[in-house]
Amino acid sequence: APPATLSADQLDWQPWGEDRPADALCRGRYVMPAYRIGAGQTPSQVRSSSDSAGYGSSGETILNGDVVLRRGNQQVEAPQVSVNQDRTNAHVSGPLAWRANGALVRGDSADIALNSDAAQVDSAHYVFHSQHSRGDAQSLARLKDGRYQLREASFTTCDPQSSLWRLIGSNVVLDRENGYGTATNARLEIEDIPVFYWPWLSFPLDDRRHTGALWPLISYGSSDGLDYSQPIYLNLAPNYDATLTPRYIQNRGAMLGGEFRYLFGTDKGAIAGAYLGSDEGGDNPGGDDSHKDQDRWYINYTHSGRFSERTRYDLKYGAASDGDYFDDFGQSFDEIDTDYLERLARLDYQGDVWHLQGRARGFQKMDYPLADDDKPFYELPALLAQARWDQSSGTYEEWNSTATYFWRDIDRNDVPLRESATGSRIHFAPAVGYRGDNSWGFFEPRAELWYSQYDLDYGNRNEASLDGRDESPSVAAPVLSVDSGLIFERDFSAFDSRWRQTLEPRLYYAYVPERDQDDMPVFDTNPQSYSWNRLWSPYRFTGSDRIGDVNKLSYGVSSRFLEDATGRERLKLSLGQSRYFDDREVNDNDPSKNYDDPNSQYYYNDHREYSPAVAQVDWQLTRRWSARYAMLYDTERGRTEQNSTYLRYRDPGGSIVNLGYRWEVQGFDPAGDSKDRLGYNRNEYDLSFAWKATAGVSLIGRYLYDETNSRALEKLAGVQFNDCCYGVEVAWREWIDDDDSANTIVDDETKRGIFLRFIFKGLGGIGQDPDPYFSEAVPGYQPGTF
Amino acid sequence: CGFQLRGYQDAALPFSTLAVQSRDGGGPRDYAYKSVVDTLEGTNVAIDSNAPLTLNLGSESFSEHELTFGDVGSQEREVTYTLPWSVQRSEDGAYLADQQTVEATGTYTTSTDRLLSRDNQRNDLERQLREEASHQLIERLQALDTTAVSDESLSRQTR
Amino acid sequence: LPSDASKPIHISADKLNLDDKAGTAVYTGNVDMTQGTMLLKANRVDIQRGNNGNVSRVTAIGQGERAYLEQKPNPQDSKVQGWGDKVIYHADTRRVELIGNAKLIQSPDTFNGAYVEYFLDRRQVNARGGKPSSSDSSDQRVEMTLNPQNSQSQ
Repeated sequence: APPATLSADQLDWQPWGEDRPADALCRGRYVMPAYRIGAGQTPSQVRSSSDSAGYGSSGETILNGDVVLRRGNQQVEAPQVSVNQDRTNAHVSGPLAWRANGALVRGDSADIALNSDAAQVDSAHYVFHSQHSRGDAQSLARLKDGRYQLREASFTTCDPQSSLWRLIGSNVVLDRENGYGTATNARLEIEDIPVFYWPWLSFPLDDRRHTGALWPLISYGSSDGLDYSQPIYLNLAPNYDATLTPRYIQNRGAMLGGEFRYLFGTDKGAIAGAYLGSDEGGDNPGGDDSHKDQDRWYINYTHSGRFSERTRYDLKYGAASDGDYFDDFGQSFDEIDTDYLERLARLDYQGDVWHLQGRARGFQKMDYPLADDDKPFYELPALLAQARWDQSSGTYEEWNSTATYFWRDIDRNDVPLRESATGSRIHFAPAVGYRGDNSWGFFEPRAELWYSQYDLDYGNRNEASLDGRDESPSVAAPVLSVDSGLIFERDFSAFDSRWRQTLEPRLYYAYVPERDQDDMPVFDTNPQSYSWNRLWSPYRFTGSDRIGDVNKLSYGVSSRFLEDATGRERLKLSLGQSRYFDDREVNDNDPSKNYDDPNSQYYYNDHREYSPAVAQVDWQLTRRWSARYAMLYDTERGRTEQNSTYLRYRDPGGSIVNLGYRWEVQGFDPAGDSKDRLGYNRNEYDLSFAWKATAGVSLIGRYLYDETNSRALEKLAGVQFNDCCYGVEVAWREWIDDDDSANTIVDDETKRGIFLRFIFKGLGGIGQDPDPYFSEAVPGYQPGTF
Repeated sequence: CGFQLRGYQDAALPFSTLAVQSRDGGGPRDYAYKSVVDTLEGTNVAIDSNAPLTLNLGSESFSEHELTFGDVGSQEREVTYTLPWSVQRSEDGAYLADQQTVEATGTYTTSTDRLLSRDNQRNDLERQLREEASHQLIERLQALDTTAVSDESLSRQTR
Repeated sequence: LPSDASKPIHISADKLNLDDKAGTAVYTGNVDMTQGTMLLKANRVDIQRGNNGNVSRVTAIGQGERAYLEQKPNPQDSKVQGWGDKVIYHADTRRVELIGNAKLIQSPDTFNGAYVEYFLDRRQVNARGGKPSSSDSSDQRVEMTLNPQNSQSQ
């Protein structure tokens, strides 16, 4: 076992006085004292100071009495030192202190090379000042290449007085330069009680490598019972490493996960995966979506590279055994939330004028069971070309084109007619326009030709239902628009500062004639819901399978309040609406939307004379408080269609509080098929916060309440306790899983999960990477500050 | 009520030439640099590497999070764009504005049914936020006290 | 060189006064003494002769500037140089003592300290801090500069 630890004052330890920084977690720090004598003229020259000095009988130099030897940035203090004749080695005896490259080593005796950085110290006690780490060893050797080799050694980052945890190994190698260490028959002791044992162990020494790829993840889930996984980190080379993760799940069995990462020049990538043979079925092995006796696995490969500054390529391949995989095996809320895996091969070229891209892409949606009509199309391939030419006169030309082959592995008779085809689509959208821009306003007429040509294959779809459907439909339609606006301004003073207020009226006209597109498939198109941006855009759909007819005039006004002194925009108010002169005929031919039934919201949206009035407020109240408000109000029916209010508090220290309210009438968002459209009015209150209570304790929480169905959609509570050398994080979450059926809450189920995370600082940086889900759930949360 | 059309001089910037440095190198994929330069040239400022003032652009960053919960139907996601910047006097490097940022926030709606068009939607929103941030940067540059640069008042303490 | 001891001694100085009875000659005023490769310079040099007439002890004392001694221990070695407030050369033991503010350069090393003892024909050196003879009151320590064997510096 390693020798007993020395007292703090022997380890260059300086406890904090009143100079203690606010966020300090440790009770002090290690400070390297100044050198006692100056260095020599040349790096290889050795200087000494001692009570006496002289040459021994065989030409060695003997120094006695409080000897201080200095070579370059190394310094040795000891009662007696003898330097051999050819000055390659100094033998040091008596209690010595050796300081070099940010480390202090005390010991009983030592042999220190003078022509290299090598050294050998017996019964050593070492301190790495900058990494706030220390330890003891029967013998410590510093090798020529700068690594430290220790026998019967200990390692910890806890303050000298604390023995909270330390890692003990019979043969420990610390490679500070590459930031990792290895140990044989290693064990972790907590308050001197052995807790974990590894026959062989490689561990990251700082967060340059894979943080936390060392520490177990323990969780308890309602469906799986105890879930324990133990990552084993393999640092194979400076630019690639691997982590193997054996994992035991009480109700499912044992599984093996792994990840391999690499970085070569500008190319980098990673492949991760896991495999469980014959699942034991989870909590209800008989249940319909239990995967009893099935093999469960997933694989996710990503690679990004660069041929040149302009030409980049990406490769991705994600696949899983079934759509429930991440719900069952996700080890963080973010993983559980995975709703699709992407497969991609993409080549992207960014020229000065042209932007070209060729890609093959597909997705596996993580839903189980996955209905055929829910499966996204593959693009095998998609070729895109975009360009814009700007003339000095203000006129510009644009080119936009895509050529795509869409394919799906489905039974064509199982899906609606409009989704049953596969095939290719050529889409062109050349445009020409003029943009007149000056200080008091702008004026932009624009004309675009929208052209799509299909070549469809309905395969074994039964003939009757096709009833003469055109298999190579095409459409050509002009998209004409004129955008114009004025900018008025005035100065005024209020709240004892000078302000500048702008008043920006805007007028926009768009016209697209009606074109019959009923025979056209729906590959990547969805109707858009109303929004501020949609007021000023001629398009009613995303994607390129539909060009919606429209004949509308949009009018609006914005007013911005700017601080004269700094030019910061403190408040922005906007109001706008569209007036439709004709009904909208083109739609996405979704029978479930009853476009012909006057009582349907979708019928109403295509026949209303006015779009909802849109009001928006963006207000930076103070440095820390900000508010955003948006409302869409139906002036014809006199009701609010959507309204959202957010109040945010941001503290420089990193603490955050968010308050939110959201209202959305049923049918407001026409996208998706019937199963995915909200079946009730959304009426939600959202409170989320991340609070740094003290330097050591931070809390995180979210409470999302669904007023319409009077239930909590999500409750999240987490506490992270941080101390000098360790941290513990407990996160508990209860949430509603809607099983991807938004139109009814009957099939919703409540899920719970609790995650416990150990963080042993300095040994693999800060535990597991903080769960990316927290940044999703708590807007503004940056993991770094907690 | 005091409003008049914004005159040319109201919108003009207190300098006619400006050098622009970008941490991402101003290459073909440095979209922040391109957007800021286009907007500057739109307000008749010439980009000239030995202008008396240098605008330094940091790396642009997007942060995104969900506004609506889970995968209930479609999700509205909020994207916040941040562009750090600073202005220095070219000759002696004195900072007229240091460690500043401009921000723009927007939302887009997506769902697991719109995976194919999700990228285009997000790219359009990114372009729009970048443009908005560039215009905000112009407003901030307009408020810059650059009198310190003119020769006769070089000794003035720069802000 | 080892043969130095048998070489004749030449001395030049501003003044000489003999004290035959004690058998010592006292030279004062930038004294130069040479014997083979050994050179001694100081403000005052006392030479004592044994009763057989040979030189038994040479004591050199520097005022203001320290006394200086140099010698080539053997042909292939570079010369050894020593300074001290007082330098005493013992002919019989071929031993030199540098006392007070002593400095010895014996390539490749340098010794600084209160007292340095050096044997002319072998590389044996002993240096000590201890009570200083000169005015400096602090406990003077021995400072050494060791250079790796191969380098020819100094």
